[in-house]
Amino acid sequence: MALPIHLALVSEGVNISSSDLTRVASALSKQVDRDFQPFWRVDATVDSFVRLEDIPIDYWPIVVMRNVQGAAGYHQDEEGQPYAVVEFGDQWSLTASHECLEMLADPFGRRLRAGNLPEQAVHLGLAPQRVRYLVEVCDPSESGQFSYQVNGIQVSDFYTPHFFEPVRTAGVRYSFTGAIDAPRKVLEGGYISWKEPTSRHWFQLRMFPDEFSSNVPHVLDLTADTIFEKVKTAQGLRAAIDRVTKVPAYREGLRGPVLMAARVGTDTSIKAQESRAEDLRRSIAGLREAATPRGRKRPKR
Amino acid sequence: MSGKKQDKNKRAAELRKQINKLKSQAPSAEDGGPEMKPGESPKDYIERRVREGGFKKATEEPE
Repeated sequence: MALPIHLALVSEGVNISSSDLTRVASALSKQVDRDFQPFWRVDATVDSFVRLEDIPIDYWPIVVMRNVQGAAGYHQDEEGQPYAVVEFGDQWSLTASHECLEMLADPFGRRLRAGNLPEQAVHLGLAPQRVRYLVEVCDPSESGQFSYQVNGIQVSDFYTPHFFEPVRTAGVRYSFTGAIDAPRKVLEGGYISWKEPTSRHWFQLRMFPDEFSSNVPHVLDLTADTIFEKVKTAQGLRAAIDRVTKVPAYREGLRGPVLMAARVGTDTSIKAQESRAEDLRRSIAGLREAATPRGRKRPKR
Repeated sequence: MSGKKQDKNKRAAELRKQINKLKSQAPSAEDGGPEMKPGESPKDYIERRVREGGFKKATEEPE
C-alpha cells in the first residue's frame, strides 16, 4: 500500500467563506479520486482549512492569497516539502486544481520523462530529437477554455501518461477532457518545457504571445533568454519554470460559450444541492416527528 | 499548548516567512514580463508591450 498524500486548501489574508473553501476542496478531492487516480495511480485526500495554523504538519498546503507576485506556483519549504501559492480571483478554483494535480503527479517538481520533440516545435524548424520533459500535467491544456466542472466547480484539464507515447493512436485519451488529441500537443494558451540533451539547455514551447515573440506558437530558450537557471539553482526545477512563465490567456479566465456553460453548470449544481438539502431537512423532520411519543411536545430545533 | 499545536504554529510561521520572501521578488521583464491586464486581448497586450518598448518582435534577432 502506498502512503497517501494529504493536501490542504487554505486561504491566507483573503476573505473566502468556509462554505466556498469546503466546496472547492470537495470538488478537488472528487477530481483526484474519480478522474486523476485511475490514470496516475496516486492516492490523495484534499481538505479545507481556515488558517495555516490548523493544517496538520504532514499535509502539503495550497495557499490562496491576493497579490502573490513572485510567489505564484509551486515551491518547497525548508525541509523540501511541497506547497503551492494560488492567486485569488474569479478562477481561483481552476488554479488550485492545476497546482493540486501537478503536485500529485510530481510532488518534488523534478520528474522528467523522455519523448520525441513536439510536432509543433518540429514544424517551427527544430531538428527532431529525443528530449526530457518536465512532468507538468496541466500546462499544455491549462487555459480555462479546456477546463471542466466537478460539482459545479471549475477544475483544470490534465494530460494522462499516454501523452508521452511516440505515436497517435485512435481511441486513446491524451487528456482527461479529450481536448488534447495527440501526444505532446500543446493547446492555445498552454506550454510545455523540456531539456535538450545535446545543448543541455531548457526550452519551452509557448502557445501564447510573450516578451520574446508575438508568434503563436514559438519556442523560447529558457537557459539563454531568462533567469531560469538562476532560479532553478536556488528554488528547484518546477519553481523556476513557474517563475519564468507568464501566461496571459490563463489570467483572462473564461470567455464566451465556455463562460456561459460554466455559469449554467454552477447554477444547476447549486439548485440541485439546494433541493437535496430541502429534501433532507424534510426527511429528518419527518423522522423526528415519528420518533416523538404521542402527547409529548417535540423539542424546538 | 500541546506539542502538536506548537508544531503546526511553527510550520505556519515558517511558511508565511517564506511566502513573503517570494512575494517580494516581484516579476520583472527579465522573468518573462508584465502580465496582461484584466480584459486585455492578446492583440492589445502585444501592442501595449511594443509601445512600452519591452517587446521584441518575432522577426528581430535575440540580443
